[in-house]
Amino acid sequence: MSPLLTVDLTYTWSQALADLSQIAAVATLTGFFLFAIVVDLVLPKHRRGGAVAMTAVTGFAFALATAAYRWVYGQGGASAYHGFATGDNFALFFEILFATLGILTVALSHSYVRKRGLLESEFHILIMAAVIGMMVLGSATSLVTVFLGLELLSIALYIACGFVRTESRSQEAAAKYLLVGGFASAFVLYGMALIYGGAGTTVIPEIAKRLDATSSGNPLIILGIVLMGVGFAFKVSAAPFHMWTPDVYQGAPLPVTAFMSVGTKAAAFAMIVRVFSGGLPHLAPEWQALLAFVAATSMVVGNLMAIAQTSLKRLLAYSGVAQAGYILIGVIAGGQSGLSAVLYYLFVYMFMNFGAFAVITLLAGPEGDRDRFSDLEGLARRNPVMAVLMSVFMLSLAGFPPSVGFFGKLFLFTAGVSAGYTWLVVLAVIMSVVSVFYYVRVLVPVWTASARTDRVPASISSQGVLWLSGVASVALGVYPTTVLLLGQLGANPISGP
Amino acid sequence: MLESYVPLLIFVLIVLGLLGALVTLSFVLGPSKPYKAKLNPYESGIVPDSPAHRRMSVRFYLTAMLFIIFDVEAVFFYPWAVLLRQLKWFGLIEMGVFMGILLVALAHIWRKGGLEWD
Amino acid sequence: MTLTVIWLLPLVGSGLIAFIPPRFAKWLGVVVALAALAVAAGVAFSFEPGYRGYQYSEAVPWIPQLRVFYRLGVDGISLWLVVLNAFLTVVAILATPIATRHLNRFVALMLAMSAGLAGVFMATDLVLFYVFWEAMLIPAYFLLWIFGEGDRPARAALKFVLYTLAGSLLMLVGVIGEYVFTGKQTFDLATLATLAPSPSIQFGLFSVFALAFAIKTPLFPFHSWLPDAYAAAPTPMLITFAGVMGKAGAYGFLRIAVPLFPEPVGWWDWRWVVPVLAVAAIIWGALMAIAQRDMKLLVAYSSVSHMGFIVLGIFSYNVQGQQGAILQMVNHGIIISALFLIVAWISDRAGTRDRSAMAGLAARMPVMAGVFIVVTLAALGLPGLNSFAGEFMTLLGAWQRAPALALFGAIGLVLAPVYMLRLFQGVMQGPPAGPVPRSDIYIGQLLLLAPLVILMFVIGLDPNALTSLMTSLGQAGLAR
Repeated sequence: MSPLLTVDLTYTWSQALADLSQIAAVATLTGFFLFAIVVDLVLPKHRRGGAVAMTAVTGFAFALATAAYRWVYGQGGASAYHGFATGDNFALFFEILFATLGILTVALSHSYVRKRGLLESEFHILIMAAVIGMMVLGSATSLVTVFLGLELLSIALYIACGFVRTESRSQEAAAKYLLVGGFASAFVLYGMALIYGGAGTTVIPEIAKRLDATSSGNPLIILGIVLMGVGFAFKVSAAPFHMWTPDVYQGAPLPVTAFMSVGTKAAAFAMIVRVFSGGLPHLAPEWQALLAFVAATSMVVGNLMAIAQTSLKRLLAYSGVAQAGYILIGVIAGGQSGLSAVLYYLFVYMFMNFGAFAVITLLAGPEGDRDRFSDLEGLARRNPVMAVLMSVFMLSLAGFPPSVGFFGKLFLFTAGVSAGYTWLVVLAVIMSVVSVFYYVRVLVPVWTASARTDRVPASISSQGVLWLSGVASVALGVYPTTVLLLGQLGANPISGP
Repeated sequence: MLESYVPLLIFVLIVLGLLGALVTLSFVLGPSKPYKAKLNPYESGIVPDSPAHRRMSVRFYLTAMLFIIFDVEAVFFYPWAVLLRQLKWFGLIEMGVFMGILLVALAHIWRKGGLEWD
Repeated sequence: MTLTVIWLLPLVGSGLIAFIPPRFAKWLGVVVALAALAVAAGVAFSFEPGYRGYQYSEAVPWIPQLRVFYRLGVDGISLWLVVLNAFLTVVAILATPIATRHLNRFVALMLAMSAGLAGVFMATDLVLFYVFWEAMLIPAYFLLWIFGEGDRPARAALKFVLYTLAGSLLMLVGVIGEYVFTGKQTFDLATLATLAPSPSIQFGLFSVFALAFAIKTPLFPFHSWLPDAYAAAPTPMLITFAGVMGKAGAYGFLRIAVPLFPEPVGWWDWRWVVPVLAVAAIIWGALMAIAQRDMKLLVAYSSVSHMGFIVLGIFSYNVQGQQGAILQMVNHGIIISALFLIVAWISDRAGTRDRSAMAGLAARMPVMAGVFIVVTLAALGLPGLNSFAGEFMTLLGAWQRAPALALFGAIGLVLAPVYMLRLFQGVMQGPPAGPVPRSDIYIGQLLLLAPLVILMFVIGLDPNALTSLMTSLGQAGLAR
């Protein structure tokens, strides 16, 4: 008898059902994903795009509802598939986040893709695939599943970045993202292999049990942490591993940029929290030192580089680098307060950053994206609502109260100071002053009187995206309690109450 | 905390130093007398009859990639087939789902013209 | 609820007015501002002197996770500033020329700024205070930028915002530090005033708070944003900008820096450094005012000098000095508004702000000259007018702390007549020269100034009406 056959292979139907229910949202979305492919195959050409978009939105809505239902009535996050995935509140939080992001993206990109004459149905299907990858990252409790989600997300986005096949800049973005992303994945994988070598398991809660503070003497573990840290820093676009971000953001079609600026970041942070905070709690001093360095560099480099940008996409890319630095403070601080601050920030960052990109997306014409400062000229006249909302997004990103940006920073910084990282918080605050300079600079062309009178048209669905993002950017700040509470509940499985 | 990274740093330095030394040494010490036959690309000893930078149809890569994807997926059938009796009906249905997904993918490629050469 | 109305009413009004046609904006704005003033006045009338604690206090849990409360309250310190803010908002909107472009946006932004200021004065929770503190920057920035005068209002606006933010964002670290380092995890000002961390931590926290307040006040040497911003600000905005917003910094010193950090001693002792800076501001502001030819800038620098008296009074750490400081905040708000209005009207009529380019205007505009001399005398602290009592009390307080402070501070009293009377005499008296003004003061403008001038007399003759209510204090740790 070979050893393989001695493994217990009994897998009951009830077990299967229980496991499946843990990943219900992912499964639902995957079902709709397959259905969307079929829809794309069977419908006549002119009706495909709309139908697939509808399917995608429905799929996201069902996934959202599933996650919300399980949040309210669920039996908590039992470990599923032999510890490879779970449906705990942390996973559900991110499923809700990504499903919302999916709806926003499809609603925004629908008219954009049409206007630019891109392949409609493929675009939405890719977004669905990327969202599935992100959700997998949220619910992964094994290094293998983490890598699976990471690759699913990344591969879908590599293609999406190069979606404008006739534009060399888009192709350049795709190539760069593919190379750097592959590089980062390799780092992560190497690090995971070493951790596996040191711990003897890939299941994250098991790793947490097997490694204690004495493991810091184990070179395998240390090297694994460093390699994974580098790979993660690539994915959240934190300095000094951010070089790809501005180029990729600039080259990718705008809705893709909007999607990845929020989605990839949130997913990568889910991954960091799962692996580092969840899997290596006893080795916290090791990765905290690493992340503190990365956070400090990100805040300085991101904010300083953003000042010199003339392209809105690149500006927001560097702003994203800086924001990653702020969020890392919460991860470093850890504990319920730190992690809930991270989750809160990621959730509201979705609205403010996506909203800002949505405004720029609507400026795009059939021939390409328009992301110069001058393209915003006279927006106050050309589309007053958009001008007001753009101001809301920028001021929120800059961290003015009573917008969400301020409260996010308040929570992150409070956690940081409580955990003894006052120096990091002081640095973050000083760099925030710098950031105000460039965020406000975006508003200058918006509100300065200009001779331009051409209207900026916005489809109903894009208007919905703008309004939702704008209202959420203020309302979730004036009343942050609920989302913060969700963040706390979401952080509980990792940090403990 | 940070001290534990010192071995890593030393390791990195050694690697870089060794690499640099090897490259420099071979460049400095190695005799270099190039002539035409030496500079030719090596193709199993046969004299090349045309430039190596030839354009190949992109279809070639597409087909190769599709082959590899389905090839790798098909590997999963082997362990399943070995253990089929132990997995019982559940395994059969599970594999049905798996094959269903593969079929959707195949249909997609087919319909989108991924299998046509021109 | 009453206090909520005071800040929410202008904010809601602001939201409405932004969307109505410009021709109704001014009058609706006046109505809203008057309503807020009525509520504020009601609070003042039923205010109870000598009460220990905040009156009309409200407390609703806001972010329970961090024990942040929506806490409002007024006491003897904040009451008059709330009233002053409501009052000057009415004056400012009334003073807005009906021909202003985008009048509805202007009035809306003015009301929004006024709402933020009211919130700053009423908040008794540190986070809420901070939220209002920063939120009021947004309307101020847009007002300065879009409606600003001069060549590059955008530049002045950005300079103002970056300066203020540099201070206030660091203050955020202080806010969080109070929460963490006092060990009680609360943002309640009254509670925090009873919990002082160790002197070295106090020193650090005081530094970040004081920086924010010093920039806002502005205190020497953090005043360099002020000339640009005041020069760029449109006159109606200046009434609340100079009249009230500057007070927010001084109020912060009195409400937060003094009671929360009784012993901010580290590398140096802040309790001595700040009053010395205040004296420097008094003298420096006065000297700069003397050197100015631009009338608007002259008044702006005189404001730096006067704010120095207020800070000096606060850091005398005794009743007289601090009551004098509060009184002087109100006085200065009234006087500076009147001065900016008059200067703006004169330069409108003369076509220039250069005081040396005109002379003998009194012959052409006798009524204007009459009002101007009253305001000038009030500004330089003539007994019987409002500024005298306030400055006298602050200097008395400073004397009790350290005679040297009072002596050097008094130099400001000597210099004030120099620049104020030189301004008045140069512009109004002597043989007529330079541009010929188109007209004397309009009757509407006179009516607008009337309440300000009346208040100068009323407060000057009976400052006790104000100081008697200052005996009610909301938190321990003040000088009483």
